Amino acid sequence: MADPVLKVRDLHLAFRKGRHTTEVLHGVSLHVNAGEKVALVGESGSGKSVTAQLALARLQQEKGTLVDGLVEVVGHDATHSPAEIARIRGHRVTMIFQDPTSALNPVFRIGEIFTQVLRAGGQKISEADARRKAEQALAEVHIPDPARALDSYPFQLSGGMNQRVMIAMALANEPELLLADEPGTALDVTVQAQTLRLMDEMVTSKGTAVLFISHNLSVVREFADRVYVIYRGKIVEHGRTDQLFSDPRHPYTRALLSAAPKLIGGGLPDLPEHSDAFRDPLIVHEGCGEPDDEVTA
Amino acid sequence: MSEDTLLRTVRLSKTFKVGDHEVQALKDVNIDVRRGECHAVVGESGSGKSTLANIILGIYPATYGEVQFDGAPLRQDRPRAMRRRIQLVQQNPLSSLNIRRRIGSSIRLPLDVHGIGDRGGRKARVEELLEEVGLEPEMARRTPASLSGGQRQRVAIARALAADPDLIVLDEPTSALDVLVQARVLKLLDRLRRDRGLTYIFITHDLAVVRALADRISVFAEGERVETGTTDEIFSAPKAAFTRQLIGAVPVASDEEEAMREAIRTTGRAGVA
Repeated sequence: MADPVLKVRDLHLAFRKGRHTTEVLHGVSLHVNAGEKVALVGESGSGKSVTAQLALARLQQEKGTLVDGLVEVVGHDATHSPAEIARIRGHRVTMIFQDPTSALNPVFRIGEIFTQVLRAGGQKISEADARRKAEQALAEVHIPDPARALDSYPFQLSGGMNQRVMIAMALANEPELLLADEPGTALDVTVQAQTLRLMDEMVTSKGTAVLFISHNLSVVREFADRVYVIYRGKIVEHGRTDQLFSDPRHPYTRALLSAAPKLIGGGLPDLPEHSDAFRDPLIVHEGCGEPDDEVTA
Repeated sequence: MSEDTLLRTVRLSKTFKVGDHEVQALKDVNIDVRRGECHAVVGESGSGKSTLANIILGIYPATYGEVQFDGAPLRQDRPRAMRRRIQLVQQNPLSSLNIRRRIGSSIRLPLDVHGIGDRGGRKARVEELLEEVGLEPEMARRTPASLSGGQRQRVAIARALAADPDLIVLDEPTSALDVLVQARVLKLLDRLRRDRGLTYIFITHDLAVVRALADRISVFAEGERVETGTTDEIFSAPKAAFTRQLIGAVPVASDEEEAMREAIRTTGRAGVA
């Protein structure tokens, strides 16, 4: 089997401030194979977003950041040579954020931002070619008047439109890996549903692998092939989406599932703030080991 | 007005001037909120749901129509005693709480403003309110920045309760929270309503969030109320096409729910006929 496009192995992360050290990740291992859609689900503070930031090499050089373990992105070592990741960021590995309107620089027109995206990593492309490619990319995400959108500033477009622009930009360079951090959660449910459907359609047609980060298990059910559940810096359960939803085994996964608003079933669940059971050891569903384990097994 | 109605709007309309054209944010809206019920107002951004809340709270006047509260017209300029009876909890407690004030002082403010209790009794009252929303009394000395999102929203709820209101307008109170924290805050809101006999207007864009809490639901689209029904009616046989669309967008966690959602989206009915 080919190497995964993202391989995280026994990753530890801590932040040091003065004499005080806060440990955030306690040995996280996960992988995303080429073309695969994988979800990382947990609540705020669980470490899901910092894992993505480490994969983009955006935390490593921050003062007081202590990283240990392996993060390999399309064959480049993000823990030891973050500069290599910086070179491939924006074309071989890209990202979509929760709030599209604040993620797009408000002083540039969409067209200008798009040209910068197409030139990421020092790729050469003329103004005219960039414009043509951008129009085509916006048309692919069903933006009605691409030329007009390119001449607009982000604040002139709706949140849903900006989300489509973000998806188009993130996929314009046909990356091998897309990191999607709660895309659409800042939007209406109807727009969020459209956004997810569109993203699914686009990554499937382009064969892009995705690490999808969310706090809501229901949101990832229709999108992901596999799911990792993370609690306080530790993966607690990992399985294929069908395995995890038909047979959730870890107490924390069950709590997350019961917390999601439902169309069927009565009453509000009584959920403890914390429970010792949430710290139960990792549960791995059949056939879902990490690549290195399979080799040694 | 039937005697169990606490708040009613009659042909409520609001027009905003934007440059040289006008936007009608609310069109002839009639809703009827019964005493003790949780009435959900559900719609997308731009549906007029927050405009409705702002008029009820007296933040701006209606262009046309009227709000009636407890049998009497409710104007924008209202006496303090009337303002006390309707309180608000917003989406983002970090922007609705004063970040320079300690938690205790934020909760105490409504007690001072409305002259509730004597000076000595107010400190004890603040501690009671914190306990009522599931927070430690020691939290009174902390600042909003040192609290989690869920804890801050509990503080915002305690502050609304401090005024001892009849009606609380909840404007997307859990939209900024994780599902787990959201579930706990919804549970708290449900308990408080029962314990205190409160009436809620619960504004949200997400129908599924209010399913376990609301008695009745009004669905809004483009400034108009398109449908009102009991929660069961809305989820089992929604009449408006837009309501079906909202249900069709709910992310679900099981095959059973997915089948129900697809049945509603395509046939308008939850069950197999």
